[in-house]
Amino acid sequence: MISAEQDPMPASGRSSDERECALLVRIAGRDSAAMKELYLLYHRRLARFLMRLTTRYDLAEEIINDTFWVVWQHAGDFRGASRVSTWILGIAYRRGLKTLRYAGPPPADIEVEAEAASDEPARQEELNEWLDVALRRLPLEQRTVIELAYHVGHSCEEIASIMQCPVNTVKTRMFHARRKLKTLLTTLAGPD
Amino acid sequence: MKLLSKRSTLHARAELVIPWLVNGSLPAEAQPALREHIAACRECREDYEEQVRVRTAMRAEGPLVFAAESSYQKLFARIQNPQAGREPPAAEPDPSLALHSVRRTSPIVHWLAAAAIVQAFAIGVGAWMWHSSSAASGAPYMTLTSTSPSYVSGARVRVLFRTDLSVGALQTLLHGVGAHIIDGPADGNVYTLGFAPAPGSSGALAKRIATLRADPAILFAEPVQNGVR
Repeated sequence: MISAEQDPMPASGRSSDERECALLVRIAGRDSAAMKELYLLYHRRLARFLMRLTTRYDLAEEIINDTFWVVWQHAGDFRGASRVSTWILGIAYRRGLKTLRYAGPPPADIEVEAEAASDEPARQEELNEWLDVALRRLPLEQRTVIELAYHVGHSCEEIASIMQCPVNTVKTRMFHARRKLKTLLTTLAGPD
Repeated sequence: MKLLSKRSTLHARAELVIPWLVNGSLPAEAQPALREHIAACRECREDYEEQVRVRTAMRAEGPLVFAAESSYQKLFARIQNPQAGREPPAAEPDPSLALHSVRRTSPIVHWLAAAAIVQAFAIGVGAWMWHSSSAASGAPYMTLTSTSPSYVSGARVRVLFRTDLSVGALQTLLHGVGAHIIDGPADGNVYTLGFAPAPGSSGALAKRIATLRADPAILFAEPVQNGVR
């Protein structure tokens, strides 16, 4: 029997959500200290997510601040229908898509095969390295689903809420993302 | 037959939800039957193990170097002054800022590059400070008995410059508001500015700060409160 890998959001998740809800209430009352606390709490998580979404450092930072600008203006509208993180990630995702429409396509991949074939790190390090390359080759929607599930730790329903699509669409995107990743990682690893 | 059908249903379900079993967000009541199937099905077990490896790799911290505090200062300036114009999104992707260049190069190379940029900037600023202070005082150095310029005790402002700002552009920028660098770089490459001649009123200071904030080369500009260094 495989072991249950618990991690993201049991009881500790509920209490952190309550804390974040309390921060939103204070932000709605124009409390800038609460704003700063929530911002610093989310900055790294959003930076990772948006770097994966946009592949651009400068855009990620801009989108984080756009996201929190919306949080500052609309904190009072949050009714607790979802977790705070689902609400904030949803705003960041939509801002990210909007920004990408202005910014154009990401830069092309370079010298992936040559680099992958040139060194021989341990298996997990290889996977870390090649995963970045492989993820960038997935369609944006599939890349976003896998990032939200594996890095951020959201449930299928929460991802559907963030991406504003049906739950089954999330499952299908994840299914295809995994299949493509497997093929890409095998290709990058090359013959044994 | 019924057993086979139940097994294939579980197999199809497992194929779709393994990622959420891996990240722990699948409802507890749905987990036992799936885990039992995965333990018995080689294909699903291999898939599960592969997904655990992928998730572990994705959760590994890369050498991302975001400065949360200075980013927040930019947002805070926007909150304080919502009417101020924002920079439009960059029209063209800058390959030097792409994810692959951040993650795929060695962290050491990355830090060396960052250190070289900071060092070049600091050398430039240092050279300019030495040059301007020499020119302003008319002497190659200052002594303890020299008359202190007004910015030693006057209003101060902390600023963060864009890292690609040239020394020439920096000189023009500071000259435009009558500012001098009097300290820095502190944590996060923050510099402290003084003014000579000192602003005559809080309104005059606010005007100079507004000018600094309006400049795209300034990432944030905040007055230093009395007693706070």
